[in-house]
Amino acid sequence: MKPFLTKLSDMDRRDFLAYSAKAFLGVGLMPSVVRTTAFAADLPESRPTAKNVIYLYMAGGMSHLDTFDLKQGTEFQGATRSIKTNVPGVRMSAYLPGLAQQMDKLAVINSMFSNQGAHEEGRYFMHSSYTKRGTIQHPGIGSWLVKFDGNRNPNLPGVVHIGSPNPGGSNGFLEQRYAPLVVGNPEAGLQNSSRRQNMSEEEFRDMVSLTNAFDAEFHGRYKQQKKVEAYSEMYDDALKLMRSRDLAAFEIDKEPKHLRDSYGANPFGQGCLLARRLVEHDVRFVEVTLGNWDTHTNNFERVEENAAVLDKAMSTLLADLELRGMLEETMVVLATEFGRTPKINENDGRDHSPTAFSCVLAGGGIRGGQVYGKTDTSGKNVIENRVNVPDFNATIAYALGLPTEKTVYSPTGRPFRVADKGRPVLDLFG
Amino acid sequence: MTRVFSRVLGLCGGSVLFLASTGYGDAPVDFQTEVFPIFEARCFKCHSDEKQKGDLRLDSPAWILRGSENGKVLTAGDADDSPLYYLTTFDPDDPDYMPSKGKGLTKAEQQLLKRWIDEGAHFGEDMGGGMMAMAGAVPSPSGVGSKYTDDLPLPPATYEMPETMAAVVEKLEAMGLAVDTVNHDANYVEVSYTYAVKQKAYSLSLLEPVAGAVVKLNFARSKVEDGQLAGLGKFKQVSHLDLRNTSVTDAALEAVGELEGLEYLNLFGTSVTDAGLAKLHRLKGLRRIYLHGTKATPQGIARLERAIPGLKVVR
Repeated sequence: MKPFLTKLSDMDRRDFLAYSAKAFLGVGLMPSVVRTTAFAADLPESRPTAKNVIYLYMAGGMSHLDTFDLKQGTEFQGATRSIKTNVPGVRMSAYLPGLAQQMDKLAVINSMFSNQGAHEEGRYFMHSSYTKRGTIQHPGIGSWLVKFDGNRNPNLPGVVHIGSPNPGGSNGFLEQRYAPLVVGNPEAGLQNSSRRQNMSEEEFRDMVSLTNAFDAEFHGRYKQQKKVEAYSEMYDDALKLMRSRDLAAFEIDKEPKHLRDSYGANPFGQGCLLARRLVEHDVRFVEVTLGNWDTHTNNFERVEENAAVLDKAMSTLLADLELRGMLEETMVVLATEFGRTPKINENDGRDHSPTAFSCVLAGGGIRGGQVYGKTDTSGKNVIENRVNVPDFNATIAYALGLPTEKTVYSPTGRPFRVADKGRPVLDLFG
Repeated sequence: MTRVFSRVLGLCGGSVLFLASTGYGDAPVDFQTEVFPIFEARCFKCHSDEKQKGDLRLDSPAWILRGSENGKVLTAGDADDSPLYYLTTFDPDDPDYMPSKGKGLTKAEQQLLKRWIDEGAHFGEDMGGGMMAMAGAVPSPSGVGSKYTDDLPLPPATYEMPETMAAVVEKLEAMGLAVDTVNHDANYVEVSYTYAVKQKAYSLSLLEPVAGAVVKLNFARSKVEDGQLAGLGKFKQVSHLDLRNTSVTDAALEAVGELEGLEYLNLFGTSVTDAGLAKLHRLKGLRRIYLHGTKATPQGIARLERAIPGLKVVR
C-alpha cells in the first residue's frame, strides 16, 4: 500500500483516460498464468518493471555524432568510425566496443530534443523536466521517486549522487528528507559516518539524548514548521545511517579486484560499482557523473578518451546487473544535457546543439536492441519520433511505476508533475 | 532601391537613418531587405540554427512566428506588444534587454523594426513565399511530433488497492514487509521480505488472503529459511521469485518446484546444487534462472536446460 498516493489523489482526482490497446504494441510477456485469468485482458502489454535507477550523467554535452548517432560518409563525421554491435543492422561508435556487445540490452534514443543550449540550464532541464526559474527549485526524478514510493532501505538515503559536487537533481521544493546524499569520491566512501574512536556508544547516545532534551521545547513549539522538522529529520537520518550495518554498501573495496578493474580504475568506473552496491542495498536512485564532454576543442580525441571510460564502466555495470538478476528491476539511464553540432569548428571541436541528441535506456522492462527515433543527414535536427526531455523523464517515471499524471503542489501552491507534461514512450518497453 | 539605401544608412548611423526612414517613409518597410539583415547582424549569434537561446530562432518567418519558450514574440500591428521589438528598446543594463550579447540595435534600427511590425509585419513575397515553404521543410519543434501527446492516453492505472486488500497489506507492512503494485496495477502486488522485522513475518499464511494478487515474491538478502517456503505452491499467480543472497538450500527448491507459473527465479549467491535444480525440471514456463555463485555444475545446468526448452540460464 502506498498511503502517499492516497493522499495525492485527494489533491488530484484526474483519472487516467480510457486506453486503446491497439495504440501500444509491445511484446506480451505477462505471466502465463495471469494471462488466463479473467482480468488479464485489462492489462497493458508493455511491462515497466523498474524499482531502482542508476543514472549515468555525461556532463558537458555528449557528442551524439561520435557515440550513438554516427553520420558516416558525410562531411560531419570527422575521425569517428562505426562498428557492428551484437544486434544485426545496428552500428555504434568504435569508441564503444564494450557497449556494442551489450546492444541487445539497450534502447538507444537518437531523437532527443531539448530547447536549452547552455550547460546549467540544460542540466537542470534534463534532471527536472522544468526550465530553470529564479523563483522555485524543481525536484529531480530521484527525489520524486522517494516522495511517491518511499525509501525501501530504512537505513540508507533513497537518493545518492556520486562524483559531482553539483548534482543536477535536487529535492527542489520537496522536503529535505528527499534530498540526494552527495558522495564526492566513490573510493573514499562516506566521510564522517562513524563515531569518533574515543567515544563509546553509551557516551554517544548520552550526547544525542542531551541534544534532544535541549531541543525538545523548541521542537515542541515549532513542530508544525517544515524547516525545523526537516532539520531534526536530517539528524535522525544521519544517526540511523551511522549505526546501520548497511553502511557496508559503501565499501567497494569488498569487491573482487578483477571486477573493480573491469569497471575501470577511475572515479567514474568505481562510482558505477558503488552504484551497483547501493542499488543492491535498495537505494532507489543513484546518479554517477562523468564530466569533460564539453568538447569545443579537440572533439575527437577527447570523446575517444571519455568514451573509453564510459564504455568500460557501463558495459561492466550492465553485465554485472544481469549476472545478479537485477537488470529487470534496475533501469540504467545514460543521459546528457544536449548533443553537439554536426559542423566541426576551427578547433576540431563541436559546439552545443540541443535540437537533437542521444540518450540510452536499459533494464527496468526496456526492450533491448532497439534504436528509437531518427535525425536528419547531418544529425542537427530530429525527423522522426521526437522525444522531448520531459517525455524522456516520463518514460523513466513510468518504468518506475510513478504516476506521471498526478499533480503535486509546491509549498507555494503551484502545481507540478513528475515530468511536467511529458508522456512516456511506451514503444520502448515490452 | 530607396529601401536598400535606407538600410545601408541605417547600419551607419541612427540620426541619418531617422531622416531617411521618415523621408522615404511612404513605402512600407520590406522585411527581406530591411528587417532581416538587422536580425542577421544582431540576433543570429543566439537565435538561429547554431543556437536557440530561449528556444527562439529568428532565421526564417516560420521560426519567428513560432515564438520563444515564453510564447509569441511578434504581434502584427502592435510593436509595443511585440517582445521582438520592445526588448531592444530597454535600458542596456536591464536583464531582459536584447541583444544580451554584442552591440545593441541603433535607434534607427529600432524604429525600422517598430515600423515594420506596426505596418502589419508582412514578410513579403520572397520571404513569405519561398522561405516560408523552406521553413516548413525544416523540421520545426512543433512540427515533428513526439508520438505521445495528451491525445494519446496512457494505459489505465490503479494505484489504490481494493479495500479488502488494504487491510491485509497494512498488517504486512507493520511487520516490515513491503507491498508494491506491479505494472501500474494495484490488483497485482510484489511482496518484499528484505527488511522483515521478525521471523514471524515470513509465515506464508499471512499472504493467503491476498494470494490471488501476489505475482512477485522478493526474499532477496532476507533471513528466510528453507522451511518457511513450504506451501509456496498455493500461490499460483507468482511469476517472479527472488531468493538471491539468502541461506536457502536445495531443500527449499522442493516447494519452488510447485510454482507452476514461475518465469523468473533468482538463486544468485545461494548454496543450491544440481540436486536442487533437478526439482525444478517441471517448471516448463520458466524463462530465466540466475545461478551465479551457486554450487550448480555445468552438467546439472545442462540437464535443466534440456528439461525446460527456452530457458535462459545466467551464471
